[in-house]
Amino acid sequence: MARLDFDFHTAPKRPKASGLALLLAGAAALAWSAHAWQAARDAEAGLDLRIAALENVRPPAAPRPVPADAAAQTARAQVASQLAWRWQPAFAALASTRNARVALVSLDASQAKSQLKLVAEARTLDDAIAWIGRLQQQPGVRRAALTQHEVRADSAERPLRFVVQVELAG
Amino acid sequence: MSRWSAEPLRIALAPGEIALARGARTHVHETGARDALALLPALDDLLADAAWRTRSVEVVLSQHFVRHVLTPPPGKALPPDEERALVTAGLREIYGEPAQDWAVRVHSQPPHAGLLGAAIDGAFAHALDALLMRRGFRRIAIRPLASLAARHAPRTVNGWWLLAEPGWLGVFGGADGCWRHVAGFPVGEGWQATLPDLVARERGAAFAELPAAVWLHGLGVGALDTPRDAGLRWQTLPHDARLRGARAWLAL
Repeated sequence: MARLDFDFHTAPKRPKASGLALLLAGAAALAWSAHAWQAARDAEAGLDLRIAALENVRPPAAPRPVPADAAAQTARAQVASQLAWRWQPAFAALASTRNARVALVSLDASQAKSQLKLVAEARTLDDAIAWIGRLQQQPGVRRAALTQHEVRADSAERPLRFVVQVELAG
Repeated sequence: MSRWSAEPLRIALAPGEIALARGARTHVHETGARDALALLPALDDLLADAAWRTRSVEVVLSQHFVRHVLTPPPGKALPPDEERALVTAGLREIYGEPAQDWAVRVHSQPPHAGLLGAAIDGAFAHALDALLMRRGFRRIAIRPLASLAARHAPRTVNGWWLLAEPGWLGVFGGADGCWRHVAGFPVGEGWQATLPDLVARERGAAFAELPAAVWLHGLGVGALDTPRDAGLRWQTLPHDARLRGARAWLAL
């Protein structure tokens, strides 16, 4: 028969050592959880801010060039490009092909197209073709082509005037 | 002596009487207050004496202040809150609405036996607890006299255990290791002469017939005469006939 043991004391009893240890472990776990939760919240808040910042910040609108500015810029680019163009290889090629049977009348250079338009006079068509052939072999020349020729009847020597289109190497 | 001494204090509360004991020191205070709650101001004054300061206290309550009930067998094991609800319902059935506010404790028994409950006035229990806490006690027990006296009763009561204190008789019937019957009532002068009739009445009221053995346990009622009854085997448990009243409970 179990002993009668009625106890009307209602205040919490003193915790045992094991209960105290469990309490401490529980408190530590709770603190760790709270810390982890807070850290997660902070990280989430930080990411939200970064997302919001990325959404709000638009790349600065590039100033739309006004037409005058565009033309000036193009001109400046052209000039800069022309100044930077190395014409020396073309001049060297012409110097190498100089001879007495062909006379160079004019030279029109197009830097944008890397082309030369040469107008020259020769005694005969064969002399002109030979000269164009030698020009074709120069290092600075990619291609040289006879685009037009005519005999000048108004001159006493009746020279052959011809036009050569030269494409210069890069 | 340091207030943190391990020597506990025992307090006995009975109608008109407060007894205190700690180590070799005892003190009995008589008062006109007979209600449990009315005893507390006097107890508070007594505990102001540094001689009673310690961490551990046990309060023994007269059965005058305790009500018992034995519920019908629940038939299955119940969780503690349902056991308490069943005991409270049993008390309400007997004592009415005031029982709703009583502090209730349950003595669990196997499902085939009823639950034995004990109750004291809730306001008194709360005030006593608060008083003891305020007086610096940290290990507190508040027990009815029956709880302490049961330590000196037969370990297994197969029959009847009568617990007598001045002006009150508690009746506990047991069989097969379970409590089967409980009752308590005030008694006046000449109560010993009426014991055979009282027991006969309780035997008739019990749901089951219990063994015909009776242990008479007197605490603070002076000398006891073992009743003679042809139908029952009476025994009187050892007691100090010189001690009267609550003082007798201090040495249990």
